[in-house]
Amino acid sequence: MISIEEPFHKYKDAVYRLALSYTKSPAEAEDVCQSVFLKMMEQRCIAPGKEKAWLLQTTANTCRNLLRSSWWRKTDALDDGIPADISPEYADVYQAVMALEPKYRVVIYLRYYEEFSTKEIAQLLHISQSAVTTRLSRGREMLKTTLKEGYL
Amino acid sequence: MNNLTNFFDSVHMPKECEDRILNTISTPRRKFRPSAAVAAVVALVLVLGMSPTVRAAVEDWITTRFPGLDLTIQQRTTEEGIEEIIVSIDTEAPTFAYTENGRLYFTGNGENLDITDEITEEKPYFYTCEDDRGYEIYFVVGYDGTIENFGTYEFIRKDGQWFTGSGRNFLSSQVEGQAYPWVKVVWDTLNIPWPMPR
Repeated sequence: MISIEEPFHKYKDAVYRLALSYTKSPAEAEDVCQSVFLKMMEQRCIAPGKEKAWLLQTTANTCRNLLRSSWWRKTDALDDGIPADISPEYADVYQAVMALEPKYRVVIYLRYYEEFSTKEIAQLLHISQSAVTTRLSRGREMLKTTLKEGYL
Repeated sequence: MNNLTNFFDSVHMPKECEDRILNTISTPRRKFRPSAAVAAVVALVLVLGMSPTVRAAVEDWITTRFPGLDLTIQQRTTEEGIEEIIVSIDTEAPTFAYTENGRLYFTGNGENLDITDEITEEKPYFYTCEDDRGYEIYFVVGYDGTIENFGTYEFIRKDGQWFTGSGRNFLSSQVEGQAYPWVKVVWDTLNIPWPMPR
């Protein structure tokens, strides 16, 4: 098994944000995070310098499997409301971002926060680069309609 | 996007979640808890010919999942050494290859490599890595000439001895029960000691 305490402290928020972007539910995102770091602990080898990519890739895979599961489809996305630790000044942004479909939310997070290139996002999400560009464009348009100009 | 960035900046893993995960990953040995995702359990008698009894709630089980995500090994160790080993094949887990736009990609070990031009019907793609305890993991991706119909194999070897292996989609749908040509190449190339599937 590999040591994961260092990557955990370094990337826990990135994993959580991506999981939350997919699931929209803080409780589900926490479960995904736990599952992802357990998988990392049980890995035999991860190429040096690729820990973050591995974590985000595994998070995306885990979330996609969750969203495809019959359990999830039956219950639909859980809406746990705004997490307690979100500052009130970002409540509108939180609601606007979470109102997006996961496929738009995820690419917006990866592009504008994690600053991945569209090519890297395509590889991470197993979709084409043009699909990334389209989702970014549509996601931005949707956010523009609900948020003040200054946010975009 | 500054405000959007600031917003994402304000999202953090909750402290109680962080503590729970830290507590879990700081514990080197965990109880064996059967996963609902484990679709098939194959018990192998690897050590001392002991009975491969599946015990669902025993202390001292160590669970190890290998990078291809197909294989999980649970082993119980006592003062006498390793007593039981259970190899689980998780058929629900995503495998380490996928296709997109007519291209075939390998994703084991955190990679994302376009291997389309590196394989033919009789030339599978091989990838190997080794962990810090000397386990060698061999990934193989092969296909029958149709990219979408790819198959995979994952083997584990230690100290020169093959430990176990797991494969998906290696039997031909054209000739019932017969392995694809790329599988024979795998067996010949790696000198696998077990009978080839057929």
